[in-house]
Amino acid sequence: MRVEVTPDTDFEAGWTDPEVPNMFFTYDQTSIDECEYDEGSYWATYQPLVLTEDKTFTYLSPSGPVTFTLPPGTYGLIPS
Amino acid sequence: MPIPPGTKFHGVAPGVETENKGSSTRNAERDAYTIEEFGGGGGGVFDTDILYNLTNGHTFGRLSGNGTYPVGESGITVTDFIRDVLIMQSATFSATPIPAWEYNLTTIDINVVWQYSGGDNATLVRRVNDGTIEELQTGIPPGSGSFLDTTLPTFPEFVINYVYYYLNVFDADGNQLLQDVAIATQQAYIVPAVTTTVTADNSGRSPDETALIREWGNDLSSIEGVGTKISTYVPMTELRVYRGNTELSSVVITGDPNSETLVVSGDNPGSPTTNFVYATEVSDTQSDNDGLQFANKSTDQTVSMRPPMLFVGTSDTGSSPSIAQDIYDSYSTPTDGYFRLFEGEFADTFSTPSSMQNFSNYAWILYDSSLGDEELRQGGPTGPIVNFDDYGTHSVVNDFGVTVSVRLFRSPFTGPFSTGTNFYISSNG
Repeated sequence: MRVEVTPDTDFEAGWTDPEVPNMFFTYDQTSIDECEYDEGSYWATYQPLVLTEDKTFTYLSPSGPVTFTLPPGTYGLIPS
Repeated sequence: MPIPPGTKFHGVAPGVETENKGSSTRNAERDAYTIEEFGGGGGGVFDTDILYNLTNGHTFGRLSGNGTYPVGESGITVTDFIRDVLIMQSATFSATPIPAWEYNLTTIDINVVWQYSGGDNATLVRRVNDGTIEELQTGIPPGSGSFLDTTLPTFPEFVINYVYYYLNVFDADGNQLLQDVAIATQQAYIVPAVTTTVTADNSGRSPDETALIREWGNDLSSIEGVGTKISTYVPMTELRVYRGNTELSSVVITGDPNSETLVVSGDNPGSPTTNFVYATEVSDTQSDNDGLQFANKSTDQTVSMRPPMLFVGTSDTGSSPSIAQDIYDSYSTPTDGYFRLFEGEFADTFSTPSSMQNFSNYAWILYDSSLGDEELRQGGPTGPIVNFDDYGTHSVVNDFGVTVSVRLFRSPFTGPFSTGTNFYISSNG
């Protein structure tokens, strides 16, 4: 995925997707210097989680193990 | 159609309408390109292998030295080249057993946590002990995540098990860029702790007496052996207390306690003048499994049996037939002098007590006759020799009923020494 960023973008902040609470998504780049400059804008990329079939996850939460199943789809899209 | 080398491009804002205003002849010589031909989404494409030259040990991402980076038949977009080649892939990766993977714990979960960048996707796989690679998760995007592995097998006991997790990071074309490994290893077995504590059932008059230093004949003891489990899942099975090679008592341990105590009261070794040794052994399921006599053995507790040695001030003149017994019996408190327990030959400096400046008293020396003649020097080992009167060899019955053959020496006069005068007495005369 390609997304426009600015020099103010916090590359370490990342984002989450409530549908996939055991994962934390980040840009491929770690600073604005690594981003592509095109048409007067900076562009960063990231990789969402793409599922083509049901996938069951188990992760450890503060209250204990949590298991959930995700249907096919694209997850971890950067919040608008 | 590929874009010819050197072709120039001019762009306009997206909202501006364009029209080819050349003549029909010129228009026929112009080519039109779609943005996809620039590399799908606006980035350029390297369609020939990329030469690089990095000198003096410099590196750039995954490149170092001189060489050619092959782009393959379909080339590589600038975006992918930056992400997959010029950005060094990095990952952090850990595997934490839940609960703590103590020795012999056969069922656990393992929480795997990762973070990686500089790739397109990753797979998480595991290998249990020397088993095969098992795929746990694929298509993991860059960033961080966690996975609780709840599908581990039941592990065997009495070995150290381990699970390797690999995070394999790939580029968009499926080339592996990085492999990180996290290892969950079972804790090692720790032998149970074991101690032996000896107490003397009787006490003598010598200040030297302790639980492990006794006057001849004081050999009656009580022994406490304690085993303490260290590895939670390795139960103790038996505790045994020994004197020498003789097992005095044992207890079969049931119920998997953390600690077990075995007490042997009133052991009479029948060894009034020679040393004897106590120890405790503990067995557990590990030593039983290994066919060993014990899992751990306490340090030997040696009871040292020693003859009496006295250097005392008394009014006994030496005329009584029972003079040796009288001297032996005369010691009551440290103000009377010294009642020592030496192991075999001895040499020590004694500071005279107040009883020896009393003009009614003589200074007497009594010790095991088997040690031979004494040597007495004033001040210390190099001081002048002092001569005591030799009262010969006598027998005394000590406080514990042992008949002891002793040598007896007496100062030639009463009130012999002021308090604090040092005398070096050696059995190596």
